[in-house]
Amino acid sequence: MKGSIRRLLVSGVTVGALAAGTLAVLPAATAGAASSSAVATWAEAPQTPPNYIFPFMGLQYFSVSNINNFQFLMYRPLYWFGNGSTPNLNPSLSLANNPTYSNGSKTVTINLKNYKWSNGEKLTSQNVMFWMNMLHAQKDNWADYSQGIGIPDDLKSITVNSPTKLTFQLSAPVNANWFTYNELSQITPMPNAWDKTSDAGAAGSGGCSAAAYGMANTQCTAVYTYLSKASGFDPANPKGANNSLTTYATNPLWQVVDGPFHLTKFDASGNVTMAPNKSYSGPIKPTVSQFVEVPFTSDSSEFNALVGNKLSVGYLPSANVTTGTTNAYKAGPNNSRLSGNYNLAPLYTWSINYFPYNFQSTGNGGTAGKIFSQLYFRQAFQTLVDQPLYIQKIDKGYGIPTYGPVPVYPSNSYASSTEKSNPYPYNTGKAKSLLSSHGWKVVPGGSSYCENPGTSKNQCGKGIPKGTKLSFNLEYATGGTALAQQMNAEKSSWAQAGINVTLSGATFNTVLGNAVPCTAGQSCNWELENWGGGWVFAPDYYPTGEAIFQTGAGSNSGSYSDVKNDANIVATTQKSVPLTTYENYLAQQLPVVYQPNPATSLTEIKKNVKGVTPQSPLYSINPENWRF
Amino acid sequence: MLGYIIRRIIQAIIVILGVSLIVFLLSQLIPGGQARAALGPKATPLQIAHFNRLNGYNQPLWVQYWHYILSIIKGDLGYSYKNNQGVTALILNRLPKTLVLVGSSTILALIIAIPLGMAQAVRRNQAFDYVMTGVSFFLYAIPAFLIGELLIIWFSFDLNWFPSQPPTSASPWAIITDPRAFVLPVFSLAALTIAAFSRYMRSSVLDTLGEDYIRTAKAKGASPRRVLYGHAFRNALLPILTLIGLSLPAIVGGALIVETVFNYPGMGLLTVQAAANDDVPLVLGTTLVATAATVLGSLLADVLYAAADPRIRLGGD
Amino acid sequence: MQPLEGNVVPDEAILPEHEADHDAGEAVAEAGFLRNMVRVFGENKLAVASLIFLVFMVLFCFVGPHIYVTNQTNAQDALLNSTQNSPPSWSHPLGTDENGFDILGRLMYGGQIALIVGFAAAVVATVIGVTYGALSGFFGGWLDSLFMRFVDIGLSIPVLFLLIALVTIYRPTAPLLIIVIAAVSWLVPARLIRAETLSLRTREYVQAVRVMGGSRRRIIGRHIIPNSVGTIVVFATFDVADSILLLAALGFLGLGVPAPQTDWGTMLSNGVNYASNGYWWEIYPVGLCIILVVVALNYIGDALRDALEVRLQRR
Repeated sequence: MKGSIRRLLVSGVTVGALAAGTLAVLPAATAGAASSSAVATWAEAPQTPPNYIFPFMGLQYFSVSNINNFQFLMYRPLYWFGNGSTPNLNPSLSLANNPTYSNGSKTVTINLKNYKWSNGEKLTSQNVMFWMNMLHAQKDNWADYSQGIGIPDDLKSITVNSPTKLTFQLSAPVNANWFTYNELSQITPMPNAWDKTSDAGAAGSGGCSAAAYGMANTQCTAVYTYLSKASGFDPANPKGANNSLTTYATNPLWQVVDGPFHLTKFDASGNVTMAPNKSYSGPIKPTVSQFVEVPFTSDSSEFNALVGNKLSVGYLPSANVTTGTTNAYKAGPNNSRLSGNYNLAPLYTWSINYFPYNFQSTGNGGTAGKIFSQLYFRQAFQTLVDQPLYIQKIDKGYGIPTYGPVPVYPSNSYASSTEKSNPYPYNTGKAKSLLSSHGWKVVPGGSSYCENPGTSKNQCGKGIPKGTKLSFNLEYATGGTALAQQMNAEKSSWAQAGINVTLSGATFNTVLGNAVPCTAGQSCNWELENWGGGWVFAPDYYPTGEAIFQTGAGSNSGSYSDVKNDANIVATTQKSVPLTTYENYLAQQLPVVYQPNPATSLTEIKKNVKGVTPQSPLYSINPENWRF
Repeated sequence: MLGYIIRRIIQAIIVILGVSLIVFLLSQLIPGGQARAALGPKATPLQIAHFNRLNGYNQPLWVQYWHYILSIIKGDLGYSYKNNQGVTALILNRLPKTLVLVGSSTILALIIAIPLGMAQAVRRNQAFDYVMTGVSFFLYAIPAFLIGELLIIWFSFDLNWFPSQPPTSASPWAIITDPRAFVLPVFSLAALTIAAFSRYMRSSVLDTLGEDYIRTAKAKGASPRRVLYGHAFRNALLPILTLIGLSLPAIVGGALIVETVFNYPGMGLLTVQAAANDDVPLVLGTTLVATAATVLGSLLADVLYAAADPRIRLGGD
Repeated sequence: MQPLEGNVVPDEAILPEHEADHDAGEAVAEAGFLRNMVRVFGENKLAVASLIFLVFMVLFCFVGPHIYVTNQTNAQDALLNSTQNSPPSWSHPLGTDENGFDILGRLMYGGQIALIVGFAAAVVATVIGVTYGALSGFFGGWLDSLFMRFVDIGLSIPVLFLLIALVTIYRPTAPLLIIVIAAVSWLVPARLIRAETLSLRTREYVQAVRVMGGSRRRIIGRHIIPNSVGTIVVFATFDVADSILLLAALGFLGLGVPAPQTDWGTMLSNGVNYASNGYWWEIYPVGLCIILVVVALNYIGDALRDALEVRLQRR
């Protein structure tokens, strides 16, 4: 999923414990593992309260606050990603052993572990089949569905070999990493108790989970409708008002969980209370007595709560970072009002930050797209983006530069040395000479123009007439001061080579609405659009480019199209090749303007809390690990 | 009188319809439409088309508007995807809090402004009058959000007497659980209206004091106090009702700003958040409700004025 | 509460004795009017002081940057070479903001936008409102009713709500902001001028011009509007103040001029972000500028209104 303005989508993925408020110390209240009576409080990101509980949903509910910070605590996904501070597959938290690939990577075998649901049911293949059947019936309503790519379109059949073993037959060979990380990652097994079409129905009466794969579309649709309505979405009347949110904590449906927690209180403003699930089968059991998510309407209200010592785990708003750090990977001094009670732990997530060129743009007198298509221009443009300066001054040191399509941090095995060594360091002289050696008259502080048009090596390029100015419009998402500052700084930087960029602000959604791939026959004059978030690799954890950089991909906003790149991408999803060729090519070809990636959250952890770090780079929180 | 009320009610309906049309049309101008705003950046064209079909956004504009009006009449103001709740439910949850804020600050402003205006009128052009006028101007000139922020800095950060944010809870009456959180927002909102009201009261009393019947009362030997309170006060008070009616739009707008500054969970904050999220049904709903409240409020004020002033009532319109 | 309606001019229109002065022509009335207003205005010391202050502010904002030269647009340079959020010092008398821009210089730069938008919006609102109101009052009848209905409707809409909906869709630029602010301000002068027009319409000399065959445009342009100048000027003065405040509010909501331009409201809104860090120099100076300019305008408007009342009382 694409990233977004921190304030909007990203939650403070932090792990911590303790609460200042209500701490009733009960004597000898231990049952089994040493449990405490502490209440753990965690700050939600502003204005993003969880609002959807059913783990099969459309894109409109597909958010971090709903999935990673809410549903995952109760309904575990089949495979868990995020191991320590790496984004890798986590075998100990997955519900199944690592999948095995055979038959030329066309067959995938899944062996389930011994998990129980809280109502006594055992985790079986039928639970997995339940979700797969529903996907087959309702793929249009599934958030991560891509036509022709991945599940369910590339599934030939699924066989249930035993209550703990399933076999997937694929229609074509796949890259094992890609299929595990990007496709199997979408599956959340569902309990038999949900397989019904009315409150009074018996478990399994819906007929969706027990059916053979793809054979129960009507039944699964009925079950899907029933469950969605219980969660607040009526497919038949999507605009109808409903008040299901208030029933989340009381509806017995949602009390059937296989994760470490279950819901005890929930309200529409985002106050969420969970209690430990006594039959959780995972490796680490929760010891807190309650886990509470606290909503905030703004950064300043959350900061006030921290100052008042009211949270176990929160985040430091960027406006309150007074000192910063010199080393992005290590926390600098904490804000003086918090340093007495809290420790600071920066969190970087598995994402890259960039904004697209519109290669089909008709802006700037029809030349914008043509100018962008010239590699030398993109190189000059990128060479003027002084990422280290912006990280140091605007992000106060808490940021990672983006040099290519694969994140260089958190540490992973995919980032190549080419990427990590920054192919285009900041250099105004180099930028100017790139332009002037290709037929442009460089006017620093003014408007550079093309004085040598044509298509040979030292001329401006195809479709760029003489006198064309380097003048572009860049629309960025308002709402965050950091992005505005950065855009301003970059604008002044580009002006050094006579590249004249006019900035304008709009809401996040407007920018997204404008940054769409051009369709034939429609005028398409957007040139540069920056929503501030780039792309977050979740749930497509394996950072291949089929969703963002492949020709015609749905999120290939700028319509970037390169034959060699397409071949590279296909190889990474279908053959067992590493990402190196693909990422080195794009690090050099600059399909988008790479931008520094600020820390997702500057997590504040109360001092007497353990088990919070290392934080998962995939946004999930694990309060079952919290100890105090 | 009845005719007057009926005319004003029809006018109110026209206003509300007009505003709904304007905001509806504006909302159609969001690039990518509702689908982009709801589905976010990952939406493929297929998913957008599916969403539009499901929600009827591919129908002609006038059809959509007509459906919208029909559902309003039924009391259903639409559905907000970002919150997964009905707009009506959201507004019903927040409206009482805003009403409490607006009501308390207006009452507070009146309690301070009326005696102040009267005192200024009586001491016209003396030092007291000049000083109070200066203070009035000063208060009026401070941007609403600045008053709020300054109060937060002084009384919340530095002195820690009052919290800077009210408690977040779904219940409309949660505000009562921590009345201290109420003080700063109400004072911020009241500060602006005090300035305007006291100026108006001052000139209204001055005008009344110059009227014939006042001179008559004085000639008859009535004491100054009796003159002031018995006659001038009552007659000068009548326009206050109209003034409140006329100021309602400004007060509601001011409430929006104050709510944003203090994160006060009312309708104003809801509107600002909805606008930032391009949550069109919610923006439509809150704007409509705010307009309805303003229009009906001023209608009430005018009706009360007409009822209280026999000259108007008997004179007809 | 009783609006004058209908085309009928009461035969027994009461004319105060000195109406004879006006029959002689508007030129004499105008000269006398201006002289009177200036005199009354001059007697109000606060108003005169405010006027001087305003002139100083205009010089400060427009001439200041040529004397006290600072970098206000090159953010890259500012980040590289100056310290962000630094408190007042010799090199930066009012400190720096989050970009490293000098705040004193930024006050001048932002003030240009605040003053220009404020004045322009008031001018536009006044022109539109006066024309609308004059036409409405002059023609009277059903046209007047209809026009005033629109005004009543407009006055009862909670403006900020509508503005938010509007400005989140159209990217705000300075010209658009002028239009938007004017669009919500023109209603009041329309009402005022309409009332003036109605009362002026009944004057004998207007009747005389009509009898003599003067065109409507001449009557409105040469008689009605000039005689309402007092009301117009008073309103316009207050409207500049209100426009500056409205612009500040929009800036606070993030709907002000786009970067790298800035206005006082946007500066203030950025400054309060850091309130909890104690960066007071990013808040108080800007706030004081806004407050003092608005107060000054209010004193001037008040004095003008007093001068106008005096003149009216003499009628």
